[in-house]
Amino acid sequence: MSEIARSRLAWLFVVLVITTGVVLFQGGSPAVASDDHDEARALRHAGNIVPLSELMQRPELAGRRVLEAKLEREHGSLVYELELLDDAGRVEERYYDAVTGKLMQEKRED
Amino acid sequence: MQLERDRVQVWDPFVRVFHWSLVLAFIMAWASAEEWDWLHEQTGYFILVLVGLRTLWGLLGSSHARFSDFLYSPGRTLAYLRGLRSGRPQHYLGHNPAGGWMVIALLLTLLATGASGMLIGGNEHGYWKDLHEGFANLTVALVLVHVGGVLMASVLHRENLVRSMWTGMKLRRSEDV
Repeated sequence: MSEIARSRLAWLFVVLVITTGVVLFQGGSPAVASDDHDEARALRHAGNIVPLSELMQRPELAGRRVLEAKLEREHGSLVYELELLDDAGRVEERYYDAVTGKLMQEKRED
Repeated sequence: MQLERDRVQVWDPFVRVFHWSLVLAFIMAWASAEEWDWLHEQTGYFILVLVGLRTLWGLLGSSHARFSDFLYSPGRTLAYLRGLRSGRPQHYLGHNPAGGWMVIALLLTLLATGASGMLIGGNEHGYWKDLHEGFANLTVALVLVHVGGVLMASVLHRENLVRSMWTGMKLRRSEDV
């Protein structure tokens, strides 16, 4: 390969890096911010998601101290992210599918 | 002794854009881990693309970007490291042998970190998660050694290697390999 061809190829690779960056980061984060009450309310009114109050009545959640409750969009689906305090005073995170209400994941911070 | 010194382009535009994009993306991936999943995953994919392009460039890139330019035998590498210890290392215009192996090590640990991260799926307690964290930590350790090595070589060779990675230019020496 000639030096000129190689130099053109170097710039082509630079363009590929920039294009990849634009494709991956365009539009910013799709997450619904925790304080985005309007969107959460709109979704609830439309009957698209399980209301948080209904979720909190589950046996495993009833009476639990909630430190933080967030509604986020993860991998295209709406997820409730709950941060709870257990009896031993440890922080526990539980993730629920906001549409079906199914428990997706739980993790305890050590 | 520098009988003949002239300024030459050693790092082509892609090598430099690759290097500094990787620095930025790695810091972003590290900072967003466990905090901001979307950003963490996007930067992870970005790093994997960077690693892929750099590997391709190592095969068909400009002279000092090619693997064949900077992969030296263990004997040559040990000789270079001994030179560092004695304070009189052999000067290389491209990557020195230790730096060359660091390039390979970093590309491999970044690939392993990215691939294991993609395999986590939704399982936060699985095998891949532990592996991902292990590889990420190993990469950070290598980065620290890399930065230390660059600073040490810069002092011993009396040249600013960080600036060279930005401008692409280095001063050729008569003793160069």
